[in-house]
Amino acid sequence: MIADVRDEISRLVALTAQRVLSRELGADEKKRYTESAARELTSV
Amino acid sequence: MSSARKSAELARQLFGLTLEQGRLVPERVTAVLQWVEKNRPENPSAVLRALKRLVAAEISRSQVVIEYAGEPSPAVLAEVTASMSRHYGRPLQAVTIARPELIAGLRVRVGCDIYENTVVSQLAALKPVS
Repeated sequence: MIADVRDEISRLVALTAQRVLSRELGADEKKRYTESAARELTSV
Repeated sequence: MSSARKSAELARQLFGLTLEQGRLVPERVTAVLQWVEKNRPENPSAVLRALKRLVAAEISRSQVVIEYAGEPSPAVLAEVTASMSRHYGRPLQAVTIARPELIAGLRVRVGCDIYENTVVSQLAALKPVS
């Protein structure tokens, strides 16, 4: 029961974070994240 | 040999004819298709289906598909392509696709291999596995 509640809360937190981030992240912040992800990928 | 195996074998042979030094040559693919149309081998649709699978697999092996959100600069995309080409030991052609639903980050695909660092994938990792 507690595990189910914990899972549901985790799911809702992730979903909310996704909605907030897609609305609140500016173009510059997205670009910075993407370029940092690219640097990480190319350094492997 | 069964009809299906014969078709697959013929498709493999025809696929071999579409390659030049291990690279797919579009003109050769066209010539092979014309040969199939003209000579009508047994079960041509099965041969063509198998050939299509082999050609699609070869194309995906020679491409790096970069899906992104957050508009990376052309230099960054070129560096990802160069890095993947070095990693796989063959020149790869970049196909870039904007995917705003990833929120930010990159998903890079070469053949069956996928490298992903996106906000969406990071959030998915937080969700419980059900």
